[in-house]
Amino acid sequence: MKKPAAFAILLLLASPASGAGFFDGVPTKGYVIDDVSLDVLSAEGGTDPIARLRYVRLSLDPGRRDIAYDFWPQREMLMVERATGEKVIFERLIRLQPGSDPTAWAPRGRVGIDGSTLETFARAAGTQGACSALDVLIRAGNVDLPLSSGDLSSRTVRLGVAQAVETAVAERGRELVASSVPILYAATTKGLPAPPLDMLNLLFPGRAFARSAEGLTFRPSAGAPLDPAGGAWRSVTNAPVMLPGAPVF
Amino acid sequence: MRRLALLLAAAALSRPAFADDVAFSRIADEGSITITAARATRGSGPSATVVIVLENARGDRVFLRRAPVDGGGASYQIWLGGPPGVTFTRRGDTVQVEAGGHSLTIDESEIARPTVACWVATLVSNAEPKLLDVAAALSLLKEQTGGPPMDDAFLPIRLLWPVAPPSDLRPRGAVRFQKGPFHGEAFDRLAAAATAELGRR
Repeated sequence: MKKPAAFAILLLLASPASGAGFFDGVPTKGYVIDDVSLDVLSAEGGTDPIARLRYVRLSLDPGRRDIAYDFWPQREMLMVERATGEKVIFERLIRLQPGSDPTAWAPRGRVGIDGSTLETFARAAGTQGACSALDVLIRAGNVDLPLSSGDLSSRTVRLGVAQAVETAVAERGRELVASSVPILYAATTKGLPAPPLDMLNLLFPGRAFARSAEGLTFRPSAGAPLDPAGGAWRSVTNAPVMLPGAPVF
Repeated sequence: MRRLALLLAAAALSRPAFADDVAFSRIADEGSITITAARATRGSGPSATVVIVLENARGDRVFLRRAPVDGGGASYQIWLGGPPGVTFTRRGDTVQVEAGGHSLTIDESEIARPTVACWVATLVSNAEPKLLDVAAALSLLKEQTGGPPMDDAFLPIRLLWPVAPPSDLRPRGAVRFQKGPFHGEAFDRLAAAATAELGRR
């Protein structure tokens, strides 16, 4: 007997987000609020960095001037480039203007790895039917998985999310995420914020990532900062136009 | 005494190996709702195979089939009209739900959680669009009859109760549960349908 395609259930869970990309509707131009670039050195690794980091926080131009600058949406990008050349980015969107449809999924968090992505969406109100109470959507590759944020402790939900993530992201990609997390937590002592990592609670529910990294030191990046619009980063994220300063009205 | 024991043993051996028990029951209101159930059983205890065929007044049938599976546990199939329908395979406290070539593993105790209910409802309704309505209707009738509890063979129905939307079935008057035996050609056909599914794998 043919074994049923495990996890294919997830493909059935059509949602309003289907067809809408994570960056659809997200302003493409932003003003830099924070920009930190660091080289990560290991006590055992000599003077060559084991990883390079860049954190950028942008105030996204909504394209209208009836919203005060302080209330513009923001995009955070936490980029990691390992010595191997592997890249991963953790992104967070906040203060996005609510759309006219409260049941529409709005983008929240994103992990970009070369060749695969994990994304989270949220909505303010549900629709009719058995799935009406679900307020979070995880998109793992081309699979949409709606869930209730109140169910993250559920064994079934954890298993379902884990299966979706494992299907969408190769083992090496998951290892890249897992090994980057302690570096990023260690870098919070140098001004890199942790909130872009909060989405990991959704994408890897119940998983305890290591938060401490032994023997790491950080120094301001000696080279050019990582450029989300350049080279291989283009397969990892959708880079915005990043402008210095603040808008002149 | 020894002779008696030998006689009893001989009697037991002479019994057909596949002697199947078939029992009938019926739920009916004072209007047009009548659901007749034929329950065929082969074996006993956890290794028993049970098939229940439910038939309404229009002749629509719902099949439930419970059978042991290798390695422990049991599989519970439910279909309307023809198989394969939806299969629930229970091992310990987890249940694998399979339908339409897709599967989902759930913790049985979490079926009422909004996320789990959504996932199960989506899987089931894609494969058997009317099954949730059937589960809701049976739940409603069960509530009104106060009949005997639905046993293990009804696991698919019981699992789908919290997932299903409220039934739009409107019974008239009192709803009663009756146990058989019942006799007649219609019951024979129902019994034959149930018995035929006992041997299917």
